[in-house]
Amino acid sequence: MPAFDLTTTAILIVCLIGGVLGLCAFLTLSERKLSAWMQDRVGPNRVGPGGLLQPLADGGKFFLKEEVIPSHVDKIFYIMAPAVAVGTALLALAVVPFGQTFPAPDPVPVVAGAETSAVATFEQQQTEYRSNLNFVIAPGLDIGILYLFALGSLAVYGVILAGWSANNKYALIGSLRARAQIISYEIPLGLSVLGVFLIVGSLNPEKIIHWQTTAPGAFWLLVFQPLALLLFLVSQYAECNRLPFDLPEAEQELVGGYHTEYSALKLGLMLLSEYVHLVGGSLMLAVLFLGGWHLFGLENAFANPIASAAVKLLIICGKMFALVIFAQLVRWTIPRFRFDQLMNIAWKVMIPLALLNLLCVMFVLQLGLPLWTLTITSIVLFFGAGVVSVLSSGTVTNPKRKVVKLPPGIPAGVTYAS
Amino acid sequence: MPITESDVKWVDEPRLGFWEQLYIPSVLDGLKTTIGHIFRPDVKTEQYPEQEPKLPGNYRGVHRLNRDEAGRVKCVACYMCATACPAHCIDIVAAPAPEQWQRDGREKYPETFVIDELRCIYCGMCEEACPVDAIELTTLYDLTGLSREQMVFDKEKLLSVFDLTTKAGTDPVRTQSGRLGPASEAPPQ
Repeated sequence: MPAFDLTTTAILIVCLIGGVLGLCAFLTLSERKLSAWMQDRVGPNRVGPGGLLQPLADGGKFFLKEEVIPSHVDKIFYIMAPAVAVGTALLALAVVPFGQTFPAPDPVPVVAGAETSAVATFEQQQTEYRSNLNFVIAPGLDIGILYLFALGSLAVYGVILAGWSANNKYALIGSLRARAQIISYEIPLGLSVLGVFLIVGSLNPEKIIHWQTTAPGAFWLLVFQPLALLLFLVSQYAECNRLPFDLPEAEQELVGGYHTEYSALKLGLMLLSEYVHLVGGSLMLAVLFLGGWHLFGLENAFANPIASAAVKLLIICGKMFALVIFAQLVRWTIPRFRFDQLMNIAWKVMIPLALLNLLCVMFVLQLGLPLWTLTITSIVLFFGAGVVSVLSSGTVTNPKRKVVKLPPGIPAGVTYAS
Repeated sequence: MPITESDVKWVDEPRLGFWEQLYIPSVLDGLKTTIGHIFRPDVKTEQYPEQEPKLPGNYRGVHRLNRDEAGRVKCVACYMCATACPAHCIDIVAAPAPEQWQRDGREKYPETFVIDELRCIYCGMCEEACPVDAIELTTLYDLTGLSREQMVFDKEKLLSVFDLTTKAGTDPVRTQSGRLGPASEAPPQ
């Protein structure tokens, strides 16, 4: 990992966290507005012009409300849970590129007898790399995405602590569901991007962008890994507890789910961490599959380095914003899954598909076939899954228990399942 | 009657075909509907304080006491509304009508006529009971006050409601404003 400049990093951290928190505030507004429009309502329109100041009013309300800590909670964990939730969500942003990036230089091989020149080359490459402005808090981190997955798994502790410490059955059931869901969907999430790592040959997000923009015969990984993109997108919604996977906080069944007992700013932090997850995940998806700051040559339209950096920032943030809006559209389109359906989709459909996709990538790379064959294998796998589902007549994702009709003489309305 | 086995109708779920099993086409179909609503909204929301609702003429809101052609209170203090009222919110004190009114055939008139609007359940029995259509429920619905005393309406207040609604042209449907209703006419011979 290259050395970093403390001032630049501090400025980047402040900008990114400020930007993300502000964006999350306005995403709540866009969520409410979009859902209102879809349901033929008006939505918030009283605070500020067109309701634009609604997030400020909401935030102010969270600050001013009474901070209730119920007497029956486990105080330490109860207070710790929102901090863990928000902390892990924000920490995950450290490796996510949000603007122009330059790939870190590869290690320099040392040949016997030419050690000094190798060191000189290394020093020169590092100086050159440091002179660029990377829009990542921790640039050149080679374990990049592994770190992200590690924090993603840690994020579930916020939910578990909240549900357990609240000493409330709704909260506990909500957190149990969240646990099962996040642990299940971690697997397809990880497996789906393994193919990307195999193709690119690096876990570093900057290098993945670099590969998509410059490698010969390469384009956005969306083209070569459409199935992986689909699996990643779905698992990401499950990880963020977004509809159609919002069972941990299903209002109709669980009051508020794991944050039932929270009030005021702690509740605000809980809700905020979900949005930060969504923003971070969307940025990651844009980086992994949609070419990061690349957009058909538009990113090179300006020779001025500052203008170019601004354009790249706008492109990648635009992609992220589009993905977030898409998540909000999906939210009001698909009804919530039942919990067994949720588990069946993860374990019986998505994990096998991700594994087969990974296998295809391995074969294609090993045999040296052109990359476009991966597009074909993805499509074949997708439709093949459909055919298998039809042949099994829905028993894969939606297994039914057989309903036996009653023998005469038993009161109607009672069914027996075999 | 208990349900018998023959009453039970068994409904089988429709079998999902290939495209439904693929999920994505169905999701896209759903997205078409939701996104369509964003661009072709059919908003029926009323912006209340700025945009007042148009209530039907037989809405039962605040009471009013009607006036006759001469501008006098039409009520004849017969106590029928107070008797009919299930909430006992009407309080009338009757008095002999003034000399001039007596010549028009009015024997009594209400000296005070008080309705406790907080007690009232807005059932409309008073206007059903009134033989001269003197009391009516208007379409005024935004009844507010700062104290309980303010919500006890006296005769002047109730008459002012009449002036207000007649001037605004929002008479309730039943009224024949300024004319006595059929119940006040002499019974057919």
